[in-house]
Amino acid sequence: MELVRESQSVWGQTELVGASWEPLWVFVAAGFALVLIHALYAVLAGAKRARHSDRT
Amino acid sequence: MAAAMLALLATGFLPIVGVRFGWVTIHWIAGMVLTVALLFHIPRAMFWLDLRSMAVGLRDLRDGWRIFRRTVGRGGAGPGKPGKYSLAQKLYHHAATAVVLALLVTGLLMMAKIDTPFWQRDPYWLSSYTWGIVYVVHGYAAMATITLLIAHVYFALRPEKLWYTRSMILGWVSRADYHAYHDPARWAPAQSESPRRADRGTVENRTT
Repeated sequence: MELVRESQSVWGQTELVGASWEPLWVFVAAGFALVLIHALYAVLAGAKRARHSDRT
Repeated sequence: MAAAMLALLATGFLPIVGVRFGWVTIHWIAGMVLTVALLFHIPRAMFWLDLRSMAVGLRDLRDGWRIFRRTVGRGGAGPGKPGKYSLAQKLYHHAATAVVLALLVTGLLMMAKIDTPFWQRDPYWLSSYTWGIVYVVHGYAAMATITLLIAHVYFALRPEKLWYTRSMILGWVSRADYHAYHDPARWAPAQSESPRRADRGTVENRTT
């Protein structure tokens, strides 16, 4: 996966153009991973609280 | 501010995923709107609101550690109620601040490449290498904004956080929510003076 975009100048030098958009899916996946992890945590924490209140 | 951010994200990323349209003008105008909004927000937050409410303190770190211990099943004392903002909210705000400031600074530098009524474009103002760095920082900060946006929308829609979402739209929280979720010793906002709101028992975002 490329991290940056480069091009060749008219003098044959490699020039930095900007960020590569290939990592975009990584950032999107990180967002949804955070959502999934928290959603699971909320479900498990809620179930634990429900079990605890049933016992008391 | 939110509308400007959404316009910037849409005009910035839709062309990348293949939706072709004249995005540059809308993009830089939305960037200017966001800049003006921030020039209003930062002094207001520093001088009219309580800037310290966004500072991460030892009690926040203690509460965060206690939440972590309970999450991993270690038990122990429960976290206290936060002041105006929880540790998670403060950390999110600081992350968003870093990302958005990086976007704004690099975006404003890029304005040198735009013809406006106030100046003519000068793409040679910076070296090509420096422009490359500017575009790399702008691109990665923009992609980081996507992650922050996904998290932001998720937490805004969570059922137990809907009262937060309502407060962002209407500007108040009910007295019941205030006492349930905040520590009055750490955040004591002004009580509502509106007779109508006083009937509902609301707490507004005003410093006394």
